Amino acid sequence: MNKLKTYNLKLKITSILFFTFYVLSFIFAPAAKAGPQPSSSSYQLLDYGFGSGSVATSSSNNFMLQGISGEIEFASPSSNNFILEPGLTYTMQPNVPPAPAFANPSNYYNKLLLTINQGNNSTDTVYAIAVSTDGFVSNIKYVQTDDTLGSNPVWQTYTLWGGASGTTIIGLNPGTTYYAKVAASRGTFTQGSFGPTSIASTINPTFTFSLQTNSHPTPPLSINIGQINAGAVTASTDKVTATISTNANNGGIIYVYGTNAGLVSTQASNYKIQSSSTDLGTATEGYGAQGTSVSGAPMELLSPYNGAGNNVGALDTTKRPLADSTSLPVTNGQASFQLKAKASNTTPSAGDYADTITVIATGSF
Amino acid sequence: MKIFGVSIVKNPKAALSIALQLSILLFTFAYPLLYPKKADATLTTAYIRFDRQSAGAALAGVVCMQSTLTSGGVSKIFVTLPSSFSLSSTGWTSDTTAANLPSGATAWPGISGPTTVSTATSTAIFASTDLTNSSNLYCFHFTGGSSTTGTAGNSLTGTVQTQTTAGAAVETMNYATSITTGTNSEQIGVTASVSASFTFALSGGYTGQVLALGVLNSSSVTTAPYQVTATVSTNAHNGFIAWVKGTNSDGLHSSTAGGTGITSPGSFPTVTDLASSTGYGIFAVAGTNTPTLDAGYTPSNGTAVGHVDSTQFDRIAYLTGVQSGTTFNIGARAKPTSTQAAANDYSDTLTVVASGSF
Repeated sequence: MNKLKTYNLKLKITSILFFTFYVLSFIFAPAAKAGPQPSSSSYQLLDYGFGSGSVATSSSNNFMLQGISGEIEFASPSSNNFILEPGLTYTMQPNVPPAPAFANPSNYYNKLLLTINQGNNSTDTVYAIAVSTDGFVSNIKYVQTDDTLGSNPVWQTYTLWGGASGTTIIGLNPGTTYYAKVAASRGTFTQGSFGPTSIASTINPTFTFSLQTNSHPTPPLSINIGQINAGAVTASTDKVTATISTNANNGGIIYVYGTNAGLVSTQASNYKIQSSSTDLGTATEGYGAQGTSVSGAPMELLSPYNGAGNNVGALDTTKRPLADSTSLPVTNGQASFQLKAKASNTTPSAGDYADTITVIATGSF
Repeated sequence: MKIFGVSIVKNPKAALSIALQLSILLFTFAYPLLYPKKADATLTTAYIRFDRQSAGAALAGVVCMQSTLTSGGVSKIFVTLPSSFSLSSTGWTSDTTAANLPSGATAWPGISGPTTVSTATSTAIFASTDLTNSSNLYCFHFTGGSSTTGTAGNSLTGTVQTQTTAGAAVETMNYATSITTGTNSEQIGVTASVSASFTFALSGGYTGQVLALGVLNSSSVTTAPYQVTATVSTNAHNGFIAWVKGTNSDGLHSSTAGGTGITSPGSFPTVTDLASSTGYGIFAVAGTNTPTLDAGYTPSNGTAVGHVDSTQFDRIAYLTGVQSGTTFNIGARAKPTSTQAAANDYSDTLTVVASGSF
């Protein structure tokens, strides 16, 4: 009897303990947590629930399912003016980025500047930029890490997309309207929709070139150096001015070259005052060009046409760079030069010394 | 129990998912360090420079490219010119002659052709191979036969595109150029003149350009031991001419003896040998730059003389072309007759003049 009582007592105690622990498990169970709410500097649990048990994520090479019971996973009731996006999926997604800042700030012909609008997303949000030439009807490309366009989206943080300075999308076609929009993502199952579209256009490459002299604003152009005396340097009073404008990425270059490689006289049996890059002050005889001025911020004179004193650059048959815009686009950039010559005491006297110089210019696109 | 959104360690799939996402995050940050963004597409430098840029000028120019794409499979270059250019389909050439290329440029590899010129699309197609060195600016020069730059205008656009054998575009340069208004309007005619210069001087002689003959002997020819040097410099492209004339009609004249002096025999340009005659005359000797001496003053031997005329200048020396310090010497000889009156003041004055032939 006593053994039975002892057994019953143990059974009661055990039952009481079990019931107590059972009740306590509901009181102190973290319900939706396994401990303190998980978070870090780079993530935060916005919502969570109990899985359905077994394998909650069925997947294959091409898809993955996320299963949870008792909760709406995906729905998007909407009207013309709103979209209600309940469900855990939308809770997880970052904010849809607003329309990016998209512009052609400097008459670009093959690039455009895009700055992502973060839309109050966290710093760990990554973005993909979609670009189209037909409003995303059929032509859809994505900006790549090298800023060109490719077929597949590339996801990068706001910082890697240039931050507040934006990113310059390159390799574009001239004279074309481009549409751009941005989507955000923040981990698996969190890619959101693309946001509103911005529009910007490239322009066509441009290049203008004109030539004049002081006394001849329009062609035909000529310069008379005048009488060249033995032992003295004579400079033309007329100056040549070349003007260029271009949006070429690497700016414009002005070249000059001569036909005779010197001043030639038919009367003097085709004697030639040879042109060379030299200091006419010390040379016995010679002829060349000397830059006198530039205007239009990036313009610069190039050696040997940027010499001082009586240093001149050759006017031979080689096309030599006279001036450039320092590898930058330029508007109304000008370079002026004059001609100088010197005779020796044996330079044949004649009144028909002549040359024809040609000035050309090109953009480096 | 599973916490949605956070994998429990014991769930291998969840653990794998976290690992993959962390890897992606790490790679996103590391990628720019491993593959820095390039400032532009693969073309570093690209341009087309026309030899002439005025309306209607002959079409020719250079095409240049520098690219970081060194193995794109390039086999063709499509050079599309502005539609305002006037193209012919024949007579085109391509070359990599150094004189035609910009300084420092490398010859475009494998360039030839064009294989096709389409006037409809303003395109010339050249054969090519890959630009294999990203440090080189590759260029080639072309001419367009009877093609011209057409009409004037600004921002005239075209393209240069490299393609593979299959016709896939490798790289494209869109360019613009400008053609100036008017024939030869990008050229400047330069003219100048060189002023004439001429210097002439006499020097030498005994003193003060004196040709002292000393004591004359009727039995032998006396030559003055000194000569006077004439120096000419000029930029006259036809050179110089020098002349000489005497003063006294009777040659070496003596005021003391009076009468007829020691006359100059013969007449220009005849030379007289005083060894078999008598009289007074002069002769010339070529100096620096070897001017040409007139035959009338070129002695055939050491006793011959040329005539000294007191009424006209006779040419003594000349040389074509510019001169710098050209010289010739003048000497004198005499042999009196046996009846020539004695005196110590026989003299004549020679006048030597010169001129540049401009």
